[in-house]
Amino acid sequence: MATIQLQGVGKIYPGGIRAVASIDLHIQHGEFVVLVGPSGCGKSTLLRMVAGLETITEGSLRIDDAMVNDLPPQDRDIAMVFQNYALYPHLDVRTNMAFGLLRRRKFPSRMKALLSRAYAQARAAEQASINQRVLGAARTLGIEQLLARKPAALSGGQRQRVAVGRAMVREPKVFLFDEPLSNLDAKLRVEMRAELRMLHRRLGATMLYVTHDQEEAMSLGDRVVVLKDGLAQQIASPREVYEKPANRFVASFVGTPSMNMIEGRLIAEPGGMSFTSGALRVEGLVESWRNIARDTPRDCVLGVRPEHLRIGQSLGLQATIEAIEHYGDRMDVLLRAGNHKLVARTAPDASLREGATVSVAIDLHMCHLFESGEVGRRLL
Amino acid sequence: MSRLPITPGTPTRITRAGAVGGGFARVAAYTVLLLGTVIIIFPLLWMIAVSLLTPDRAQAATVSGDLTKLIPDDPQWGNFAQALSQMGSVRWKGFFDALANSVVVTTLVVAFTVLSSSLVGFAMARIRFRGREPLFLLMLATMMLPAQVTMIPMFLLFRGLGWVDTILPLVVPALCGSAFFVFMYRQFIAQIPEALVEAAKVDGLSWLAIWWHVVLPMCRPVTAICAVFTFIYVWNDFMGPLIYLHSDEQATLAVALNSFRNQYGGVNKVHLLMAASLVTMIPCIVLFVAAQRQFIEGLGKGAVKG
Repeated sequence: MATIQLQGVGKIYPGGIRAVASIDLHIQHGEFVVLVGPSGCGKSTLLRMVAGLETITEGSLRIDDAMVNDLPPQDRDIAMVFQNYALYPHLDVRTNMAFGLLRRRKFPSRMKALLSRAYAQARAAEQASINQRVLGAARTLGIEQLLARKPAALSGGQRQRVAVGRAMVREPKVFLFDEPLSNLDAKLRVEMRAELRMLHRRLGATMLYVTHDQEEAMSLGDRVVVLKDGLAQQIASPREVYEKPANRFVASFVGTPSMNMIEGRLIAEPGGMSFTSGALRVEGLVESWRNIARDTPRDCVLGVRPEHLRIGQSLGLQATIEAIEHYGDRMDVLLRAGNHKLVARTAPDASLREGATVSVAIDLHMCHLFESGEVGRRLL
Repeated sequence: MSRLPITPGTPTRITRAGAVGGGFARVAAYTVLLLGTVIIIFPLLWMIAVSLLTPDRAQAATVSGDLTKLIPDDPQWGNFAQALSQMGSVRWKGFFDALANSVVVTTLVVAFTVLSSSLVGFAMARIRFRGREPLFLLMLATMMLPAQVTMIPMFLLFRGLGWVDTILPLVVPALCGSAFFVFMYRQFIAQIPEALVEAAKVDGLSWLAIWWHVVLPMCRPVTAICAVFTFIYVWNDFMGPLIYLHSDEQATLAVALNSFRNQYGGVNKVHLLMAASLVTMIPCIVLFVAAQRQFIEGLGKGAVKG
């Protein structure tokens, strides 16, 4: 277990391209932190900087209070699981898992073992302890029966388990995962997600995990770091990220389907707060929003999660149902209200038909308000 | 087109009619292949035949060109023992000395070439350093130089070092790799996923250890090619040993075979020369057959999702 402290960590590639900008992050003992963002946001670069596979061009990185900026990967006491597993194809599973330990043996020499009895005993004991660790990890992951196989003879899920096992036997201070599940099929991905979560609980290790899949991030992380263009947009618990997104980007990145974003104006009137966007008008907004647009109307973006749009209320916007996606336990209804496309998530309702006009209400207490612009700050 | 019987569980192959094998095209293709094979294998068969002939018959078959005499009516198996024993000036010693020299030189050159070429290829493919590309191009450029151009400067160099009549001039240059094999290794290693090298780094391996424990074992197809080609080249090399090895005790097999030629360049005992040559060839053939599978099989599969 260890803490990881990133202070102003950034990466500028030769040629001036900035991949990561000044990230501040303090990861606690045993915490599971997920870096999430669209491709090219710098999340993998950040992870690789922690691993020591990329140089850090600015800021400081500490693992357990020791500055490790310039330490090579092998001296950082970390283990990493790669997206494509990176198992050594010429070695069997057992040797793959033991590889790191075999290279760090105190008594590696076969020759010395032949010459000195004491050395031979120490070597055998060391070997036995390595075998024990490999076997222990294999049991935990349920891959004991695969130990003699070569990676080519394993399925994707099995390879993934071996890759995790290889990290486990090292008993490192920090586990790093670089999109480890993205090569698995959807069902297996969900299974492995749960297994990783349980593994984290069992090992209590500090883990840093990279994914582009926000669902994975939300389900795994104690905390989530949402990145965009090398900048940390929000660092918070999954719940907070979902319920109180720091800006418009986080709001629309997290959650499936995405949050509905309606660009318009917030107007404070004596009778109450209202929001207009073209023909669409939302009235009776929460009074506390009055601070945002005191005297003059203010351009902003109203964000409503699909589950906070209610279809079939008597009072509400008139919208046409363009399409319905059935998921069995729920359904997503694609609506058009004037120029706006909205998505509502509801319980299955056989009465809704594509092409029909319905009345849609917004759960006003669950609305979000952002400044306009792609990464507009959260106003309320 | 005849129909394949289709039973459940039998994988059936669907081919476009005439894609490979309309009757005529197939016959033509096989005829060309057969002709090629005959042309290529004829000298070998000729060699085998001559090696089994009596001296008179051999003379008749080779010098007077009487091909009917080529078929041995009474195979002389004793030719082989006789040939090997007559190599060099001392009975049997010449052959065993030459065999030992060839084995030592070839083994060392093959080992050194594989190790040095793969090491350099690995560095060229995986380690970023200033001047890597120009260096690589410069190295490739040396392939354009004919060996004859460097022959004399090399001889003067090695003579200056006092290495003439030792195996050093044949063996030591192999430590510097071969441009062609460096190129082959580099291309192959460049295709090994970066993540494997990174995983090895995280596992605590130095560059040298990554090369030895991870990269080299994965390069088996290239290593097989490099080893077999180098083996065949060095085993059969005549010019190098002829230039640098002067005494009988240092001669390799290729040079020792020369003892069947008389001082005017003619061959007195052609059947013995063929018998000795045939024995000399055996290791090359065995090695080639043994390594054939490696040429075809790639080992990279299974490293990553595939």
